[in-house]
Amino acid sequence: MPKENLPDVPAERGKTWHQVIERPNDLAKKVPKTGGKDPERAIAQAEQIVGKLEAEYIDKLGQDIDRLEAYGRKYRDSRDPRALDSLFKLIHNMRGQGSTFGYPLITDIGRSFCRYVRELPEEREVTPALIDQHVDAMKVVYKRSIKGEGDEIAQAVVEALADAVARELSR
Amino acid sequence: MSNRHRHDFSQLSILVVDDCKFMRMVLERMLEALGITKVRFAADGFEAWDQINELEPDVVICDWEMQPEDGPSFVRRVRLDPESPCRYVPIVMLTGYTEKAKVTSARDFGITEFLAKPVAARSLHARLVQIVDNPRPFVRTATFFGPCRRRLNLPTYDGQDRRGQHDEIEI
Repeated sequence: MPKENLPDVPAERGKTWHQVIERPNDLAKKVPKTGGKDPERAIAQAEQIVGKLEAEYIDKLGQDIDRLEAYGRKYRDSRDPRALDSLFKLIHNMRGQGSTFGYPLITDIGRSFCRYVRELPEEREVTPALIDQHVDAMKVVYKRSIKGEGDEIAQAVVEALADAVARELSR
Repeated sequence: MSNRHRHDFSQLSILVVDDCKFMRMVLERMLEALGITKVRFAADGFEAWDQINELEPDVVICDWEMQPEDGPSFVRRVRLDPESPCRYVPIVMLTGYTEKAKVTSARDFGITEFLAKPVAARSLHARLVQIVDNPRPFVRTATFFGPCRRRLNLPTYDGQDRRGQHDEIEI
């Protein structure tokens, strides 16, 4: 396909100038509405495949937690912002995967930590103890294989983390 | 209803851009179950740029946080770079970020659809059907070029669902 130029913006234009570009629907020709898989069956099959990947996810979760601990130690000892950056990115990824594989508590704990790092004012330092609490909570979920929403204790731990983050942010 | 159809995705090519190898594998298997086998991968925006120059995919599924080039920067290049080979390609932003500010900024740098992690097969299928059956017009203003922002599927949007309608653009 030849390259298509970015539409020009006229030099002389009113405040409300805009151009709406309707294009031919080439994808509809490539993807006919007939002849494909039954969507409900295809979706069920995709979900089944995700279910089968759970064992691989558990292995990866264990490895990720080891890495979190290493980044946490490095940050505690050196306050190296790169260690914190690596920690944040890893937890951010873990948060995206947890619920997909039936571990929404990992997603909840990850969300709490990401909120803390993102909303903490720049002039304040991330508290290593709060990092440890989040990593420890993930470790418990992993070691006890707590699937789904977990029991009351698991829920209380997640809530306590969210409260600790809220307290820390409001200081 | 789109789901009554059996879309044949076998000729559709997709580029998945995600720095997490495990997530790439999950998406590959999910897409395969949905009938999509022409899938290629990149681990960040720079790799993805090379891939789109070689492949010109029909759809791009892109993560947000990646290094060295992240999702937002890559999407901006696809839309605005004079050398972009496919500035009109539909881009699904797949990310753990669901905060309103992030979603709004994703809309403003030109994504087509937003899909929150953890990814569910049903949501992924729905976004692909939406892209094929109901493509959004592009809009050029003095400060924006991308799919019409009034029809983006926002997870934070709780108003009336008017996606099926072609509303006139108001700038």
